[in-house]
Amino acid sequence: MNRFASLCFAAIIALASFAPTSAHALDDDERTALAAILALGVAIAAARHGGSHDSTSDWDEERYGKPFSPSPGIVCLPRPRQCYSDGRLSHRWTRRIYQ
Amino acid sequence: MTFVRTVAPAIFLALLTTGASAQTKAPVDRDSMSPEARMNMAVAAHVFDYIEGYEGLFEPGDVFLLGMVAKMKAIALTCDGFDLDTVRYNAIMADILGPLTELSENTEVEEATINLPFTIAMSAYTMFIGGNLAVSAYDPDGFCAVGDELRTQLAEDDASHLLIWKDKN
Repeated sequence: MNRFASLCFAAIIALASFAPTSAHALDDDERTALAAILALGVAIAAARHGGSHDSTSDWDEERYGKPFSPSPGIVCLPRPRQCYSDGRLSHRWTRRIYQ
Repeated sequence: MTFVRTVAPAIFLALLTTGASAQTKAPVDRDSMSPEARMNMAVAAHVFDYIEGYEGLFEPGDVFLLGMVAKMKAIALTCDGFDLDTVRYNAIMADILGPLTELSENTEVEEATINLPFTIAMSAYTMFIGGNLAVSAYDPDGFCAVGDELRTQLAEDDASHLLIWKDKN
């Protein structure tokens, strides 16, 4: 689903990129199709993450995984596979844990 | 006694391993994160979420590198003392994006107007840049301090080739 939503976004980008060189403006059918693609992409994204923001104190595990701290001041996010030192991206720790 | 001698070290080792494991996997309270940390992490998570759908298109290491280059570019845009070295910058971007360009050259359409993988990569890159600019606006001094940390850390890790700035005078 995520892939589909991303493809929708990419398709919109692609269509938008064509716009300046198009020989004619979008007609009603094209506008309707574009709006439908956009609406579908937004709906999919909302359905995917809609239930994950009930509490601001919980990590969205779909996005972050289960963050852990391998050392004081270091936080690693399993899903993006990145580590942070005092909240800042750490090349050293990311390499140590994930590469 | 023999039993104790045999089993005790094993138990001790097991406890030690369990303890070490717990320490290396200590959970993190999201409330303890600074706003800057939350912003950095939220942007990274969002970009990975976006790009994950294109399985096989990017290596996780490349996405991390793209994020790092975007951070350095944002630092170059907003901080004094971090002038962009276009040769270094272009070389790193070519390393990351080069395979995607080759992908488009191999298509049968001679004049492909859209290179979708490249567009996806640049979308991810610009998301990273936008997130970093937001962090910079929130805490300009803290954000620029990251530049000094990166310069030092990458030099210590023999990874200075990843820097996209001109050398300090």
